[in-house]
Amino acid sequence: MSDLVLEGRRLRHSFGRTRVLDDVDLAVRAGEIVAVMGPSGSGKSTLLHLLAGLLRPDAGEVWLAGERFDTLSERRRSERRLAELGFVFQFGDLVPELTVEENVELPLRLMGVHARAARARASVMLERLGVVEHASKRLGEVSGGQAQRAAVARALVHTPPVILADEPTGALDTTTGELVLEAFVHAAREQGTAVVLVTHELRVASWATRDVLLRDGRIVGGSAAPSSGPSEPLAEVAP
Amino acid sequence: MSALVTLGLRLARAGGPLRAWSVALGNAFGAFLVLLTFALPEALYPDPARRADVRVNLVASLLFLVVPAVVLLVTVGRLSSGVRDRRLAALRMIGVTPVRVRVVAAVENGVLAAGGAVAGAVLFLVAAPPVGAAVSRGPGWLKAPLTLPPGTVALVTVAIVILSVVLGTAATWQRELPTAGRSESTRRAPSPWRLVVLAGGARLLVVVDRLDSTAAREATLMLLLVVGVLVTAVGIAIMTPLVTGWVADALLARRPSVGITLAARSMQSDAVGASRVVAGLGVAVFLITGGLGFMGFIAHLPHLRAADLAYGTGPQQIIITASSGGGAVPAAALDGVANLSFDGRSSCS
Repeated sequence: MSDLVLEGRRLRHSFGRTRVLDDVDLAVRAGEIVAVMGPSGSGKSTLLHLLAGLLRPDAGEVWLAGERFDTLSERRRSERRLAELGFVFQFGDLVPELTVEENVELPLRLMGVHARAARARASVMLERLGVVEHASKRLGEVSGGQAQRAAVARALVHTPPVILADEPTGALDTTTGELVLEAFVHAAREQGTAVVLVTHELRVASWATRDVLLRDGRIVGGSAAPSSGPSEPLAEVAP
Repeated sequence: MSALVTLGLRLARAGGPLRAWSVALGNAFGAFLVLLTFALPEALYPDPARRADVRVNLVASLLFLVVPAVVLLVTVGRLSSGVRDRRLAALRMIGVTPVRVRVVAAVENGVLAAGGAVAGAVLFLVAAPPVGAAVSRGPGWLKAPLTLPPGTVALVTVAIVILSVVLGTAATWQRELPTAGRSESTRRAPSPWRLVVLAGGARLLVVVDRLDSTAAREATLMLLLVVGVLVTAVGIAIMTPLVTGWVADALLARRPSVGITLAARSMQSDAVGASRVVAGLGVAVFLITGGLGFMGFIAHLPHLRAADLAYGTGPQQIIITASSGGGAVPAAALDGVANLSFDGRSSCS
């Protein structure tokens, strides 16, 4: 399939003697939102880290935009991670010493975008996520939900083809969580961004166009391969 | 200003002003100490020939003044390192390359280290000459001005900053990329192979002890001694995490209370952390300076001091014991001995 942006093939990984993933396949195409579900310890986060190149698989392959990703050097993987992937974690992982705005523009600045242009794009993204009035505040001065929306803005600001989100709404109330998920849906629909969403909440997974169920390191349900039809959320969402 | 430099400068604030001041002051004191170490030999022994005579003592003194300075630099460089390392790990995860993360860490550490080291150098340039002059006029320990050429001061300052940056960014050299939530809980058990270094150092010291000092060349003895002490010090420092791991295992072996379990698991998860190595260095410095103090005490025992004076530059001290049936021998009886003088405390019997 030509529009596959991210693919893991027969991924296997262990921590010490514990096999965490066992021959897992996952392919994601542009514009899809894939929810990776499963109980705690099923290997969801490890799968995400393998796809992101944060870990190297013991066996198997990772392909990003049609190019083998897992065998690249650390430097090349980092460069591609910066340019082509956006991350959202449960607790944001923003830099507290920077303001909200500086955090959001960070990927752009690191990619060499001029400071003024980066600031303008960061403002647009913060406005879209409803936190532009907090742009000049430090992280300690905003709520958890506002910080998480800033994290989503940082993940989306450089319009990467893939967003990887690990329990992005896990620490948020329902309303704020929906704002975050709406941002993902918007990016998928408007920019063709592929989103891989790790969650154990059915409510969150319902926003996805496809889900994959992991248990004990193996895919036991859902669909590991993308469908050929149009991508629509499993449950229709409000615009 | 590039994003990396901005980021580095911002991260310098991580940990708060107390941490920033501590790093700067630590570097200032470290720079002052190292500059003093470099200036002392010439101030103590202006005559190059005399300096050559006491080379062993000087090398040992320099070494053991510099080691605490390095320990200080490591310690202040690792202050709040957990916070800083988490920030750097977060940057790695979003795709900042290892080299660029090191640049950020170097800016973050370097700006504080440079500020401190320059302050220490200025303090040395301003304060050392008058202090040296005062010491010369007072106890008279120093025979020449306590100073260094500005070029040397600049070089030492730059070296301090580089050392500080290298030590402060050491954590960024690990190849493994920490992943969220997992890095902090991963147990890294120290390898028992660390004992080999200590064993090697101890073995060298035993060799020095058993060498026939009359047959062995002084240079060889000195080299073996210095290398032996250094390797032993490194061995002690890197053995500390191993001991930490053993203690943690021992604590966990007998169904401990919750508090002890938490403490032991925490020790296990950070057994090879920089703080342990720094603690090990502290132990090594303590043992070595203690050993030196003991050796100095031995060397100043009256008979060894007399032997040292007789072997070295003198004046020779002669102890004459006369068996005259318990009667006192008048000092005048020695008047005929050429160049003999009494120091006023002596008495003849």
